[in-house]
Amino acid sequence: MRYVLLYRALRGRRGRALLAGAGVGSSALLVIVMLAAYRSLTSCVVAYAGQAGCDVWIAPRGTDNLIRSGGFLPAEWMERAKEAAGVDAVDPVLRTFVSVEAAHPAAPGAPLTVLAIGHRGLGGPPAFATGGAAREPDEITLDRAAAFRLGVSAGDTVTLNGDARRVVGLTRGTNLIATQFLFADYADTQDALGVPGRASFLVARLVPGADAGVVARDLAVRLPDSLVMTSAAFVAHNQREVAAGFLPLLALLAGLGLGVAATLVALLVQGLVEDRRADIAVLLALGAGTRAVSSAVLAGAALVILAGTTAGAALSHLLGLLLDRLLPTIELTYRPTDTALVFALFAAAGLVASWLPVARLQRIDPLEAFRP
Amino acid sequence: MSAALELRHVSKTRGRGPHATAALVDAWLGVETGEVVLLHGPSGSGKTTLLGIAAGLLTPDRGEVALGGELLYRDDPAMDRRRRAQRIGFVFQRANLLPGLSVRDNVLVQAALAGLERPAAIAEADELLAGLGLERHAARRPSELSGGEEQRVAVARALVHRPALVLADEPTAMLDGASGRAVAERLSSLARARGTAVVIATHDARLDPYGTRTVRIADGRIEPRP
Repeated sequence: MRYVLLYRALRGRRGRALLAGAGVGSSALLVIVMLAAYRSLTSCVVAYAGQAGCDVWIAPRGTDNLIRSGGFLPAEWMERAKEAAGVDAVDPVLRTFVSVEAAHPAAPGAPLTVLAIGHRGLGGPPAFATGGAAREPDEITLDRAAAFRLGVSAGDTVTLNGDARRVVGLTRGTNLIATQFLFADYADTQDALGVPGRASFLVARLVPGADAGVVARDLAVRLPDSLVMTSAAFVAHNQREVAAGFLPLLALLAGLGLGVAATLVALLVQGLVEDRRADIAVLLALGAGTRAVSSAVLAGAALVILAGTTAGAALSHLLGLLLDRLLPTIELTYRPTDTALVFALFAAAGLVASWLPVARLQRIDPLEAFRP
Repeated sequence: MSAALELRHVSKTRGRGPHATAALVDAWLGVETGEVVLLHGPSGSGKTTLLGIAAGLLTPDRGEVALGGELLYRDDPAMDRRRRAQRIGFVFQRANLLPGLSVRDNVLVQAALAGLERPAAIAEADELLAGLGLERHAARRPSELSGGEEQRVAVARALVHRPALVLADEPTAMLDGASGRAVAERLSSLARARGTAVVIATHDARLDPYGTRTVRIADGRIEPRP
């Protein structure tokens, strides 16, 4: 009864608490959305680089990821790679940026530069939203967000560096936000790049039971000017690359969001302590302990943080659903652990920020209750 | 039986350096159970200092303070705080009700701080509010009450936990004559009925009929000395 009454006695102004909660919620929304965007990028590279069948990746020396790759490998190295024990199949992958445009003049989208993956067999799209894999050289598959931006659907025709190609499938998990994937025939991409007989990567599928590490070491010996990576290592390198580009921004925005939320909560508590100074003095005079009064004030702050963060989390998930339907260019992947982390961080930041005003509360003299 | 309150050789200086003033000088006061002691004195005479010291809120420079025979300022401050919550009731110059709580909850705050169980506290609070003519206002907020009604709620708050001692600091100063008399009458009659000792610091002579004894304080000195 005591704590409930103290909490209700020292409850702050509703309007002020609502505003502070809205600020906390907005900050939480920002941080959760940024985390979800980061997870989306990570899951995109994991989905492609770690897809079934791509057991070993062979890259030019100095290239260890898909996002920032340079140099080419001679395509004939495929034959040397196939000779290694445990290798079942080897295919080339050629990555480059291409300009793609809807062929239909009424299509709303502007020309788009996308990351084209020229493949043959291995290294194709990891998953489809609609349609299916290309079967003919003049067919392509395109990330669904890129299709949205171009205003095309499966079955439409686009021009790829000026040449007409039919879109037969829209892919999922292939949106890097800044750019999207387009999957084209390997030979087609070679022509576009003007690098005949070259590949950005060679992808090897191993026979069942083969040890990827052992095969990778063997391939490294056979292909001395290359970097040979197991699928797990290649995925890790891509994740590192995404993290290197994204995490500093995420950390900055998360820090700013936490700072804003903490400041709002501190201001709320400070305002509460100043507004209710006389009431606090009365409670202390009546025999309330400073710890109990502080707890009541902190409970109010915690409630604002909890309500604000919950609203921010709910809105972020709603935003994810809306974006998925209305603007798939921005893909968000939510994880419960990320949301829990944001809750914990915001609660900690808010309560730490409340420390100073609560410490001031403890210096209120109960004799102030005797003042007229 | 121990006195409800005893102050022995209590002195207190307020302020520092050239601003230091003797607020209490070798003060003696004993208040027995059921007594209503009127502490008369002009502003600045030391009345509030005496009440603060009696409540365990203001450490004296010298002397002893005993509440129901137990010395204050000797143990952990938390112990004095618990004694204050359980054994003392307060009526301040202003009602000092908590605006966010209903009238009943304002009364229940003191009961909760004293550690009363909720059902017993509610029964006690409702009985007191009825005795003070406030039963219709139990669910209202203090802002909906008149000044006299607010002060009567403060009286209920001061008595709800059946304290041994009520300390009242100019409880009628902010009220008109009729309201002030009503508050003083209810406070003294309820306290006597419950065997509660009361110290009322006042310079309002209209309260004299409600006291069982009057002591005077001037320049920090209490007269008559025991």
